[in-house]
Amino acid sequence: MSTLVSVLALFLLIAACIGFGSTLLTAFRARNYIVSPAAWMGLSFVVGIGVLGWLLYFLGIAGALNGPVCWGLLLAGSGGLLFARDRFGVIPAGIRPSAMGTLLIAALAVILVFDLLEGVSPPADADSLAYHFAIPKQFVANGTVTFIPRPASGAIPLLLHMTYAAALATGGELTMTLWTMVTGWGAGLLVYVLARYFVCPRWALAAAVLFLSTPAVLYGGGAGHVEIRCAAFALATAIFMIEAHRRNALAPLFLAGLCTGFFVASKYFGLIFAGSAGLIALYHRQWFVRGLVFGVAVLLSGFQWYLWNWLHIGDPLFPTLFQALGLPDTAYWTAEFDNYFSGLYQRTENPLDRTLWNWLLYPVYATFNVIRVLEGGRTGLGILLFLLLPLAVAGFLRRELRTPGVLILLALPFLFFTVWFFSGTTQRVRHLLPVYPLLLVAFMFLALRTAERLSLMRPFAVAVVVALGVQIAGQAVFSFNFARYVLGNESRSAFYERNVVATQAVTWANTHLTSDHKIAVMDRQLVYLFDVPVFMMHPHSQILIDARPTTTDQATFIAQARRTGVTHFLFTGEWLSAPSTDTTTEPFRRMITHLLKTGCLSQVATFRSPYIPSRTLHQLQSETRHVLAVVARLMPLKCPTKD
Amino acid sequence: MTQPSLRARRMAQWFFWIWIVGVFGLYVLSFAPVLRILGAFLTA
Repeated sequence: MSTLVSVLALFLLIAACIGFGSTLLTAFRARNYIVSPAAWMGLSFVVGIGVLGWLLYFLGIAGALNGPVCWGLLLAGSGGLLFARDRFGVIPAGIRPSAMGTLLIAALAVILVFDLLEGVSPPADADSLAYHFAIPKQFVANGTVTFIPRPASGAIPLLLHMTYAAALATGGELTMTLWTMVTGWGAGLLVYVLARYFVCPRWALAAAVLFLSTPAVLYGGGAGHVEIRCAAFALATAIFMIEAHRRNALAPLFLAGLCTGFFVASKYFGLIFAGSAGLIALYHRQWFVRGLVFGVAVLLSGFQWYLWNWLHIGDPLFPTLFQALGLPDTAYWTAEFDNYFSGLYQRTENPLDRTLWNWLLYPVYATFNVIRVLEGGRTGLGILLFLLLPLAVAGFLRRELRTPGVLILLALPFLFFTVWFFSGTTQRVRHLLPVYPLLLVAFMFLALRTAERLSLMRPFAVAVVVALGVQIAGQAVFSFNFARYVLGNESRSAFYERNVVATQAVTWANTHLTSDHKIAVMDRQLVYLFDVPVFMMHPHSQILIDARPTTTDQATFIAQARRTGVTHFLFTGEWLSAPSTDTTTEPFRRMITHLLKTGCLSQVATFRSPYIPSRTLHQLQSETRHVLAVVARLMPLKCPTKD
Repeated sequence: MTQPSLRARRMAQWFFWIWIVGVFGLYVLSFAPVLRILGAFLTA
């Protein structure tokens, strides 16, 4: 697909989302209170992303997820731009930004350049290659949405992934990667719009710049991670809730409910956000009507993927309720595997006991990288909130600053964080990104007012500059990998050989296998790169082919592989018979070695590729350490069978 | 609304400067294990 078509598709996606959003905003009389061009563009765009993903679900399950249909849908959505034609003003001539404004615009330009470098590079993030982009690619290849019986990376709410699918179907990979960049910037625009409710334009711009350079945004914004786009839905929800309170009206509350529902349909944690926002909606003398309006809107926009899971496996929150609902064992999931999965999940994702003390200290643990598993350094929320903490607390103590708007911005993250922490789900800090900008804007407002009152503007500005400097420096290091590809005129295959282990094996498979074959891979980040049918034989999150480290039953393993239609396997690194210090995978390794020796698995290609400990800091790469990759063909006649 | 006294504002300034330096220092220290790697990266 040509670059021109990719760029055209990107602009059409943007136009369609603004069009869909403008139609909805006009229908719910938002024209009365969304006046500024920035606010209209930001809100209509974010609402439109939700509408697009929502509509694509129905096209997807109807088997109409293809290029022509997606182009048609985007063109239809663009028609809604008619509702926005009087909303886009022009910047009056003669306005000169202040010195601070100029500096912030320069910082924004630098961030844009870094983001563009990532946007025009092939996707390299592991989660995106494993499922964020691999699932849309699979859907588009099949022309339909299919159920993927894999928790955390398959049977999840996929509203945003459907918009990735539309980008892929219309403009190809380049449109998809640029689309994630643009939608991330949509969240940045809404930070500015929300901040303008509380502070002047230049500090609102500072908030947006700080948000766009946050480590967690950097990590997931340009990749397929959904948190930043969920942040956009959370920001839109907060804006509509503030308007609902200001106007004592139900229409903005319904829009807030729709945006919350889009978050629900994009990530399971959206349910926690819905509960938090729902509580705030209920805090009113007309609690029943408001609760009803908000709840109906959330259900309407958020139900799809939960129904989808329920229809296929009986658990709308797969696999959370599997045992609670007393569901029977199936080929997809069993009670025994459920215990294994949840035990492993608790050990790897929850380093902290759920105590009041840890709840209180979590921000310290996460900000100062005390607990590594929380990933507070590389993918955290930065240092800004901690720097502004004393001023924000001092501001909060002043009654005149505790406006309903500020209270909404503080209550939403507080409730979300509390329920999230005690729910027993993953404790990685990046999952708090959706509510982070709300806290950022509230802190910015409270701290700024305190700084003005106590003549602390200089240290306040220094705190902001320090936070921004650290974040932009981090972004520069992160972007080096992509700059090398874009500016160094590197080929796509060379880029992947530098970023993903064992890509030569994928190239071999794409050349030698056909659509009649199916290859099972254990290294999940390779999935996106295959152009032939592929099965993610994840050792810990699926049981269609039980590939746990303790698996030793050869006959069952082969029978499951045949039932799944697998004809080839790709084994890498620790899953092969190569000597390893890790003994946990020993039983499975022995089984594979035996199957290779007996001819049940016939080795057809072998590759050695350099071990890649970090994509960002490639200097960590060892010249001597290599990873072995073996492609093996399944030879059923030579395999053990179940009696 | 009464304005804070000059003494209160000076104390607040001292406190906030110390806070900024302390928090930033701790943050940098929290990255100590990777600073060495970063140094190697930048000088490569």
